[in-house]
Amino acid sequence: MPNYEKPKTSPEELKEVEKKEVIFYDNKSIFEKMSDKAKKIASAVYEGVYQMPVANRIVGKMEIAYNQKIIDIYDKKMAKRKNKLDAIDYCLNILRQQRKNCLSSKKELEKEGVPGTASLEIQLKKIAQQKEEFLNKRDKIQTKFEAKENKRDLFIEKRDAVAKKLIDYYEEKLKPYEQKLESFNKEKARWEQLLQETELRHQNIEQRLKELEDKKTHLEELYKKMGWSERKIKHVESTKEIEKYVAGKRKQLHLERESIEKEILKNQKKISKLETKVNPYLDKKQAFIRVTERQKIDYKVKKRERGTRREEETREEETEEEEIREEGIEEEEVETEEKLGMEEEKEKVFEKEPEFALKEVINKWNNYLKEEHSDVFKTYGIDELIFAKESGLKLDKNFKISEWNRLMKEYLNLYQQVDEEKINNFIKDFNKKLSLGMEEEKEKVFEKEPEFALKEVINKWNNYLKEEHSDVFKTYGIDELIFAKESGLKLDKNFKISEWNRLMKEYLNLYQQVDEEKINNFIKDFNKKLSK
Amino acid sequence: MSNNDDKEKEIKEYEEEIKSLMAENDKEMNEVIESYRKINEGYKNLNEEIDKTINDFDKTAGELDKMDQEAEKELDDLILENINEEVAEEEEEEE
Repeated sequence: MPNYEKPKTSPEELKEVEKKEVIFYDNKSIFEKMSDKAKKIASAVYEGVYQMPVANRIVGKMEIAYNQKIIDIYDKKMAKRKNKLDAIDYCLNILRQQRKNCLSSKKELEKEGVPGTASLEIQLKKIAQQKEEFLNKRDKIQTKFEAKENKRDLFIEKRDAVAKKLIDYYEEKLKPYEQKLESFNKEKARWEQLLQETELRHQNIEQRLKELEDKKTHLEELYKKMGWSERKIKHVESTKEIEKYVAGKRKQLHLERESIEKEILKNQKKISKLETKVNPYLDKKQAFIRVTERQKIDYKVKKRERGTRREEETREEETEEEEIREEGIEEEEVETEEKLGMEEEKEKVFEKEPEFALKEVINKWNNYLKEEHSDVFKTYGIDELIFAKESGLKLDKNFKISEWNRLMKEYLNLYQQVDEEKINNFIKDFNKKLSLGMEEEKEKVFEKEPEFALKEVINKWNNYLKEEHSDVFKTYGIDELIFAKESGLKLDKNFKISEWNRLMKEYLNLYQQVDEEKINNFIKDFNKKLSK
Repeated sequence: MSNNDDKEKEIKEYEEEIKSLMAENDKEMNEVIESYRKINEGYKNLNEEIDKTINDFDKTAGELDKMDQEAEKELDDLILENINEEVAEEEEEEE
């Protein structure tokens, strides 16, 4: 836990954690029982919460629970174990290869009647022993890895449950107030609208009152022309009446309008008071949602099937021996030379799948999009740094195109619902452009490839699985109708094997995370059988 | 004399015209006043409803605060236990 190994918190500051009551009162007993190291880590973790207002402390604690620092406590240990597992797997692969070579040499010696197979037997035993040791070690590490993973997942599950309960409660409690605030604002807008219309009519009345005042002046002039004195005119009933009327109406309108103004002011204050009360809780709810959107790392460690791994290992060994036996038989069958030639050539094509550094292929992909489909660059373009962070892979690591295709699709699906058909077409086109030179070579080989109707090859594949790998038939078996529907292809259409292999892998990947290595081995074996 | 009669007649007619203008204005005035009163009443009711909502929310805020405290306690539990267990495990491994 490098993040916590040297916390800045001093013993004095540790006491502050208790004094400031940052940790919930009931939990203080847990805190008190903790070792000094754990206390130091806890106070470092809680450091930011000290400055938070009490009302917002829950957001701070939620942030702590969702902070990668806390998950790192598990992740770092898991990563260490994952590295060990990878190292053991690497050694196991070497041992597997050594065993295969030994078996092959032994077969060769036996065939030619040359003595010396006994020493090879000893070597094979030694390999088996080493393999056993590695497998035992692997079991122990995997158990620890899984225990840590389970603990992490349990922590995440509990944490998510707390967050969900809180968010749901906030949703339930705040929804009526959100609705009320909305309806209050709507009603306010309705009154404002009516007020605006009424004020326009008010202005018209004011215009008329001015007109009346003008008419009063004109009337006074008419009296003047009749020779009336100013004093006498002032006492004329009609002019007095006009004056009283205008002043009275103006005052009445002013009082009515003023009374509304008072209510409007009250209304502004009240809405603001309500918002001041409700908004912090709405903000808190949003903060909870934002915090909970952080995701955990998936190490993609193959799940162990307890009790069956040894059987799998044995089966693997038997397959290796069978392969070596078959290779020997094949060598003797001169008439199958042509087919074998094709098979080998195809193997070469498989092996030749070009590899690119992650950084390079992302760059090529982005350039391809910019040149060919600039309109969707924003959607399908990839940021190498985010990609590396999300996948946990190094930018200079080499990848086969097929592997990269899978990773990229996973990455794009993380952030948005991608158009499956569109992205598949882009990938096809991109791959073609990327491996143009290799493609030509492939074409030459594929020309020799036999073709099968889709229905026929699906049938053969299912039969192959039932006969050879019935335990995984449920996972890798193909329903011809669903396949035809998903791929949009007709069942009676003819396909080259390589094309079918690609389609099938795409189809299987649609529904589940397939074991890439396993499926490649099955395909190789199936193709071999099919071309025979 | 007839000139003055004409002027008086003109004044009378003018006063009649003003009276009818005032009557017409009264009708419009009543509508505007009615509208102002309606708006005033509308705002008053709205304000009363907001007051009621503010009072109701005080209770809800109390419930939310209580929920915050519960969640805070549960999170403290989780975080502290998590640190405690992992550090204890580490210390054990170191020994």
